[in-house]
Amino acid sequence: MLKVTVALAAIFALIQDDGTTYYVGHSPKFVNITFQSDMDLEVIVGVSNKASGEIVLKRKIEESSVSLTVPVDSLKTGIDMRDEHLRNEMWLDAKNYPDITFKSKKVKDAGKGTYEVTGDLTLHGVTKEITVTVASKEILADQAKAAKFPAGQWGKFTTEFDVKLSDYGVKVPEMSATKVNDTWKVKIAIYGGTGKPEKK
Amino acid sequence: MKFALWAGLGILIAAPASAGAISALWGREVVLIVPEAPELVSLNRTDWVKGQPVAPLYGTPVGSMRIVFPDAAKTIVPEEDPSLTLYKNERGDHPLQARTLWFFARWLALAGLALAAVGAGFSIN
Repeated sequence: MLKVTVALAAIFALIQDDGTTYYVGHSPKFVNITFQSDMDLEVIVGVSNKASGEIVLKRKIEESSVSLTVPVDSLKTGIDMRDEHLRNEMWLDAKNYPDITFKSKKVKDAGKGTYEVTGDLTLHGVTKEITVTVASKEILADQAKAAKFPAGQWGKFTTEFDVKLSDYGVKVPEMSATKVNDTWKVKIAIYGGTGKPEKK
Repeated sequence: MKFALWAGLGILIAAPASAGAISALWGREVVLIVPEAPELVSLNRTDWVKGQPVAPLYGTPVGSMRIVFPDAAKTIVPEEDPSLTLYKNERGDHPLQARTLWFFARWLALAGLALAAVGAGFSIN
């Protein structure tokens, strides 16, 4: 019971009176985005450590918001040729649609430090509404100092969801049907801080 | 065409046998993770309670799989659970999976079967 009380207090401590904006993108180590495709040949694991955006938490949770941008060319699967294919016009078409974006429309408290976030995911120029469950955790000041976080208040935000490429106009080429699944599992773990990231 | 028959049978047997041998001798069951920086792992540990999952302390778990020829430098045996082996898959990494060996072994075996069938057909005639 004490642990639940402390956890709830920690969650509310994330939120100051006017709302707290957590900026994303201070450093690659604070962004851990994975996407995987399970196939007979192998489990393709892609990683991006690049994202920018804001998570605004308000006391009235429904007034909170999330926006996140991930550059398509930051996605790496471990094989350069495959990454090139991923960026070309047959797949994610990075030239015409350089970013994958998410903008929330509705946030609901789902209890136990989690939020149900509904918003628009835009991929390959197609926008679809999705709902994801986001878990949040405050990084206490002494923890942040020990882990050498930049100044400010910090929180960790995690979520996972599935993306069906065909829903976004990406048609898996016939010849690679044995290689790439239409459904990708996406997992996001990001640290946001109240200090603005330095512009690079 | 007896050569085709025997060659086909040889491939049919050797392909899966090789995949099995390589996987058994040089493979390791791991939980693949996309790792977090060491200071973030220390941070994650401060809130961890025994009984909670261990892999998320070290990064984002992808799933259990068998990796062939694992790099020792990327292997973590967590102090929280020494029965577990984690394997770091950082951005740009592409470890060889046993699944990949078996995929090619199956196709090679099928090719061997086809070759053996052709050889058998000609031999009978």
